[in-house]
Amino acid sequence: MKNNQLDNFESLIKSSLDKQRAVYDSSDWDKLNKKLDQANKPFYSSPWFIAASIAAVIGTVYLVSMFNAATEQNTIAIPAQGNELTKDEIVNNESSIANLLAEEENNEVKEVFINAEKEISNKEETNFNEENKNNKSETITSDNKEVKPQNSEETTISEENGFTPSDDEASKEDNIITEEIIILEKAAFHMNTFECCEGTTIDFVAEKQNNIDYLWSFDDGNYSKNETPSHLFTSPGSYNISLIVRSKIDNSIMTRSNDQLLIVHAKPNVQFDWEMNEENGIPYTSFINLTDKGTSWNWNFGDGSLSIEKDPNYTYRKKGQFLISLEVSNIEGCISSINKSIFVNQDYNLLAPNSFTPNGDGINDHFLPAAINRLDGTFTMTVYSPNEGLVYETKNVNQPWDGTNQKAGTKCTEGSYVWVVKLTNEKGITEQYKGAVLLLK
Amino acid sequence: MKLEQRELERIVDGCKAKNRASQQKIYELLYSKMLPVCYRYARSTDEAKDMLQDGFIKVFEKIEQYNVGGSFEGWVRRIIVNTAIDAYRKNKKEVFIDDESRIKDNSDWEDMESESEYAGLSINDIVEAMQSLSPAYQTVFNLYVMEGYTHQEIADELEINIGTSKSNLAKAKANMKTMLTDKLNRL
Repeated sequence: MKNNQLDNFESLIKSSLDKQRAVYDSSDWDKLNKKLDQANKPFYSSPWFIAASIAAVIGTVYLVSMFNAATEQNTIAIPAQGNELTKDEIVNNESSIANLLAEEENNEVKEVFINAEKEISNKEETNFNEENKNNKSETITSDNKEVKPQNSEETTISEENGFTPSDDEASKEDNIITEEIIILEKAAFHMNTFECCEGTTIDFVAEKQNNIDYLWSFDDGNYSKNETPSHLFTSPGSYNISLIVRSKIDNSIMTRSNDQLLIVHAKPNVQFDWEMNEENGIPYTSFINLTDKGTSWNWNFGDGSLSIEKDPNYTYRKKGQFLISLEVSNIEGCISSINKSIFVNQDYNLLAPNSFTPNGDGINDHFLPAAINRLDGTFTMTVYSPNEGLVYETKNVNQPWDGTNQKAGTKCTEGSYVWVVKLTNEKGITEQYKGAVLLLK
Repeated sequence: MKLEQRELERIVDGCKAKNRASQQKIYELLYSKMLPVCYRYARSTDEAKDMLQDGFIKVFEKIEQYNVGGSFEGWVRRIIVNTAIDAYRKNKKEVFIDDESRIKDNSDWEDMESESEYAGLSINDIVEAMQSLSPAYQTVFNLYVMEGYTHQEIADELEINIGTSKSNLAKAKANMKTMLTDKLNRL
């Protein structure tokens, strides 16, 4: 036996069938066992010997299995057996048709007319001049791109009868057939874009013809036989989309590959990390952007705050769980995003004390949130009394609230006051904080 | 077979001594690979299992002829295949279609088509399609594609002429393709 030169189809069948394995069914052995008994010991089939043979077989099986256990234990992997196995079950490496018809919601179709042409598949042996009038090709320019028509392969015409082409009779037959059948006109298609990001579904539309089978190759190992397939491109790369059309009448084919490759761009590989820091007693979270090849960044810190910095620092006001999202786009405009959850373990309100005692004893006589002293930048602090409204305003760290009512020039009474700080940080962003402070004497 | 040669030889010796437990071991070891071989020649699972039984009975009868050193699995497989051929000969009612009709070479289409579709089929689909071929086509296809027999060898085995073997292979393939395409269209 030699190895035959197998064609594609044969190799495919062979390689998949070679993988086939059956699940062991112990009842099959039982049947064979009986047959072997019959073959070796035909006289046992006599009913007189059945009862005696049962005892003998039991004894033999026992002895044999003892012998086996002694000589062959741990050396042979016995296939699993038991009733739980479905009879006739076959182990297959079944593979489904991967993505053959990836039907996703259609993107807005920006229809680009790639190419169109009229060609006729002519047969070498036949020279029908009357067909030449169909042999023109046209170039259509659209989207400012000129696309050249491609000559497609001509193919022979199948012979449904058994004649050979060298036979004169057969040639005549062929000629007659050629006159009657409708031959392929074109292999042309449209696609909605030539450039996209990975994870995009592209729509393809073949030029409609009658009595035609379509076969598309998306150049990523996936195919379709639809007239208008949609295909999801999951990996970046350049794809040479091709379409073969085959006449249902004479099996002749025409092939069309796009002159222009479909470019599928990679999305940025978005990733970030963070660390909790503290500077001058002010807590902040440093975000570390680990995204490769990003060009713009959109952070959402999960508490309503946003940033477009690459590696922002951010101070959370409240403790708790926050869902952070980072969306990155790259130079090709492909966008990807990631969400991560972060836990903030302390509130932050400018490190403001909740009470002060403006009694002139030199201790705790003034109120100003401690963080203001430590931050560069401008601020305005206003203090409100529940009864009198605004009582104090300052923009100077050296003029903290001393417990007086600025307008009236009087000392405020004991009680609870509300403070509001508007603060412009070093990045020019204005933040507002507010809190309550208890004035005690 | 995940088995050391030494262990295999011991079991084969057991089989030569008609030791039933050794026979069972061999059966268990080769079952998962040999039953699928039978599936391809049979018309049904039951027929495949009968074929496997007959094949193993022959294996045990002929085990004296096995030369230690050669592939035991290959030797068993040849016996199983020969059993299948015998079964085919016995049931042969159908005449091999003896013509040389040309199968057109649409290689571009067919290359891409086989890459595309048939690769997506499950093994069960393929086995089913094979089992629904006519016995003549099925046997020729199996011997040529799966067992690597040449057309000359097939012609000798089945007592047909080479041309018949070739045209039967072509028609078997064409029928397989049609059936597999149908299966795909039903998915």
